[in-house]
Amino acid sequence: MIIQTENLCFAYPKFALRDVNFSLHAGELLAITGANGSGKTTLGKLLCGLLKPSKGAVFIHGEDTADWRLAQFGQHVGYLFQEPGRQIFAPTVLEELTFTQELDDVPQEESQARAHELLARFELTHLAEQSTLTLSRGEQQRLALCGLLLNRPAALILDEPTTGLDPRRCEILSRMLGDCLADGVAVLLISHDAAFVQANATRILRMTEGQLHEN
Amino acid sequence: MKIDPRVTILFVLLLSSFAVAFRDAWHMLPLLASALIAVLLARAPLLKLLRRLRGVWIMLVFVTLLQTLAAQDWLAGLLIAATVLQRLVILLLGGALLAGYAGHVLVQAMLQLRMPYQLAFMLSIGLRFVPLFGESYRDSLNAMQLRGVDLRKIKFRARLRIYTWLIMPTIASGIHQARKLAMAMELRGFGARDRRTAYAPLRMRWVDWLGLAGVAIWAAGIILWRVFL
Repeated sequence: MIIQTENLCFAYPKFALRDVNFSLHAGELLAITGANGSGKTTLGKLLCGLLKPSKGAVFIHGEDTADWRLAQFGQHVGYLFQEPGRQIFAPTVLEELTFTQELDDVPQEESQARAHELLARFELTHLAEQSTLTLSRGEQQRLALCGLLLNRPAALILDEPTTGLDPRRCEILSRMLGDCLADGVAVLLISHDAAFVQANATRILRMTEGQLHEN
Repeated sequence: MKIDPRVTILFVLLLSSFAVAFRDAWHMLPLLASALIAVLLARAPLLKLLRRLRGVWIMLVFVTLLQTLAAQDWLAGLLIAATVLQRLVILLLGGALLAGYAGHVLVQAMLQLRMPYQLAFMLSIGLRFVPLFGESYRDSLNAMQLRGVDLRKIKFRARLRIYTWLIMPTIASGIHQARKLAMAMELRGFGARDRRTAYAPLRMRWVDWLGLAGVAIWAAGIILWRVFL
């Protein structure tokens, strides 16, 4: 089991989530659907440490994350923002994928090889030397995903990943998610896109007014 | 009772002009004292502002230390540092005084001070963008840490580079938001007509006239202090 929640509650101060209990397993794609404001994004942010629970707990690999720092979450869980431009930092596409590896003292050749492998997988090779400021939303999203996968996370949380993507890009995303599942990565998909969810999810839960229900 | 924003704007303008013009810590003292008294009288959100500007305070202490260490004579360096520090604090206090008013009230005050509407509106929008920039910067910082980068553990030079990079998404999203806002304003016909009416025009009360007289006397006192002491 990668992620598990225990009576997870969150208040803004008004309660946004109440007693959420679920678990996410390796190689599983769990989709969370629900109306706007039902608490889906709040749940995603709680699972990656961006928010701290008001009550209850989040366990990752069986360990209580109450005292974890954000960077610790980042080493286990990759979170794709609704606005992917906010998680791209480096001046060029290639540097975006090498700088975190440099910080970990990965040799340059190795880090570039890994970066190029991911760029090829996401059909971004032709943009390697391009400025990150000139990327389209779809390209930003794929690059942000590449950045998350560099850490080889055990789980990915994707918040509305199909927004603004054309069918071809959705197909690439689908294929990439399939690859991740095959690698044993657990994926939590927060989405309104019924067709995408139906096509990709192994399990679907519905969120209504801060509570999770079986679909 | 809140004083008319035009009086506060005039006070802040004079205060910051004096703070920039005066060059030594001694002459700056009454400015600092009057800024503090004004903030207390206006019950401006000083503590909230101080909490928000924690990073700025660290920078101020850093600048002071650097200034003291860089000077050949440490006492002279300390005095210069005290002047710079006082100046920055006075400017911040001036900002805190204005932050106590709602954006639309400040725009109205600027309009009634004969400032062109486009300019007044631009200033108020600029003020509104400051917290947005802060929020965007925090988001980027969180996103960076979610990439597994532990900022406390990496080397100083690398950390410096990372902080420089964090500014990029902040600026990019700021420009993007500004563009969207400009388009939305154009679509709503901003500036299409020369004459505008105001929903709540400001009127000077006796207390505002009293405040204005107080500002005039204060300004004269400060000038006399500068000339004779």
